[in-house]
Amino acid sequence: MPIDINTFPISGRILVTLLLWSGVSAFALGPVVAKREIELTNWGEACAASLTTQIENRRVVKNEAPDLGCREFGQLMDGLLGHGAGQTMCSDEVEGAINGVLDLARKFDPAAQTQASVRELAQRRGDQAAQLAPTRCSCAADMVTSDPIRWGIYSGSGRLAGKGTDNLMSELTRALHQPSCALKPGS
Amino acid sequence: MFIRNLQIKNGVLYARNTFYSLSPEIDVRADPIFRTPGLVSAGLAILFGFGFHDLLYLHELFVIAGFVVASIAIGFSSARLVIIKPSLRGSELSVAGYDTYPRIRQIAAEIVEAAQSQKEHRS
Repeated sequence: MPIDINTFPISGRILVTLLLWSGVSAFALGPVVAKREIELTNWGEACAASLTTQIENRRVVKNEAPDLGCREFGQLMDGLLGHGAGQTMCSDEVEGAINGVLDLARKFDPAAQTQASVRELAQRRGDQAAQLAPTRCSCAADMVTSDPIRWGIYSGSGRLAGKGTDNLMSELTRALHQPSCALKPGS
Repeated sequence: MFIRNLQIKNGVLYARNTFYSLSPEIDVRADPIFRTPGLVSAGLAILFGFGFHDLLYLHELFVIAGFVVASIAIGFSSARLVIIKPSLRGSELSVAGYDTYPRIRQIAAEIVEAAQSQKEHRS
């Protein structure tokens, strides 16, 4: 059945104007509004800071085995042999020698070597992830702003209609953990 | 099509791609078709400007203000010239073109004058 524009409750001219406005809102005004609304929430900085903290926390947990030096060894000996034994052992003259021996032992200890390389790898990955944090954050922002209908309704109605900024932070966080953003190379 | 291209010669109105014979019973009308869209566009732009004034830079607010003024100005100053032939049961023959009201008034006067002279010529 052909559509008769004269039967519409609003005139064709207004209908065309509203359609044009919808298009402009969805594809020109909406993305700008969305980007600025996200900037207003300070998402970029908060997200990068949060990711960096997460990475730092992970690094601390992974570095659970501390390096054993003369003083740590002395404390261990104090515990085993009684007070003072470890203290005297780590006098200035002897400390260097004991540290040297411990370093040598560490050099030939495969477990220590593995731990060191794992630590180095974790450090490198952490640095890379910290560098990529802003990329991941902007990826999440791009994902949230890429909905033309949502932002078109919001911008076209001058904030009177549409979801707009409702649950914006939770949606950004969800987008951040989506595979397309979370699995950015190197993260 | 702008009616600047229109010419009246020997009782015939020449448009760019067509022409009309100006019979005595021909009638012309200026149809303000841009008035409502102009007002609606201006209203929506004002709504947007007020709604997002906190997100917009000053120069962007000026652009919106310019758009509002232009929409209203174009809406109220331009129209469509419609040529009607009552002998064809009032059906609109065609749209001659779009232009500003002063220009439409001028061309409408010329058409009516030419139609009148045709009438006098016949009688």
